[in-house]
Amino acid sequence: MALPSLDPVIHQATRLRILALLFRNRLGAFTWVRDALGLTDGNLDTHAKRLEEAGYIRRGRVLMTGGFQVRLRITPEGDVAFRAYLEALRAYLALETVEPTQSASPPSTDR
Amino acid sequence: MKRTDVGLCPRAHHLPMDANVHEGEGLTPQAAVAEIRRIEGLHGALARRASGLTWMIWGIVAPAIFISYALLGILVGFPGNGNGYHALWVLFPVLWAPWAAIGLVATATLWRSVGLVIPRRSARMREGVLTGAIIVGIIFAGFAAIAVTKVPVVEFAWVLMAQGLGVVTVGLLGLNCNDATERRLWILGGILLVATALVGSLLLGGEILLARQWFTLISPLTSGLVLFGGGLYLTSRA
Repeated sequence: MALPSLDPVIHQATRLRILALLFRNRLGAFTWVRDALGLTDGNLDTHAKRLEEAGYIRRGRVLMTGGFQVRLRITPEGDVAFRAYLEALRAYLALETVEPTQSASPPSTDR
Repeated sequence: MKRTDVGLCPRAHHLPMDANVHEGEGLTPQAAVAEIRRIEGLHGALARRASGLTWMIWGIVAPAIFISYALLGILVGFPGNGNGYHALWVLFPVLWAPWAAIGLVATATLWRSVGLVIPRRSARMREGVLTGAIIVGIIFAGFAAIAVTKVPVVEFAWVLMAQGLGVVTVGLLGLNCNDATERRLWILGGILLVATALVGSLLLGGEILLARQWFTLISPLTSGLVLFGGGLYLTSRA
């Protein structure tokens, strides 16, 4: 039986954490996401860009009293993709339980 | 130099800080599940802390409402006392509203600041509004019944009991609860409020003036201790 494929855009530790956080919170200030996940500005920016390119998140700027605040928001496509990823993950783990000797390696995350 | 929260535009900076971005790093499905659980745990802790702080906010607002009414009562006398008409009596039905508004603004600001009101904003807001409507509805329904039946009831005792009944109802309905502990806290807190009102009323039932004095003191204290203490407990275990 074929292993379910895990979306390579999401199946990367940092991007997974970013998307999981945004899936739960819908929206978060760039700095809040950065601090919540313990990332650097550059790291978050790079991964956010990958997610943006895939159409999973959207970046917006909101004018606050002290200046602009960058916000990350999950898109409906991102929502669907993350749900699909969770389903694939469940299926993958279920298969693994049935076939414990099968390789646990996910599809390549290089893209 | 640490960058400030506002004015930050990552696109504009493009600093070479992404050296530790590894595309090819191996992530097993088990590790992916662990990451997702970690985020869920992070969210849960934040939600519990915010819930605890919300309880603490209302643990200040509720006694403030009682104290405002006590001061107004001292100033103009309670409408039920039969002291004649006083212009400031119009404040009795509305004096709670500014405090409730302060509580609402503080609560909304808190949840917005932790970024948790955004997830299921409509559901959370709906539950918050429903909670307020239940408590205020029970209080006013009781006052209407008291006015119709003309039963001598100490106003503060009824408000404390209604608050408790409302809190128990909210707990039973499972509104504003992040987990089972919080739900139990709603129910237990409500029972404490109702029990205090009941015991006080039974002990001082015949002495309306003494009961009024007693409840003027005990109602803000009880509601403050229950709500603030409950909030402190929720915050400490987050």
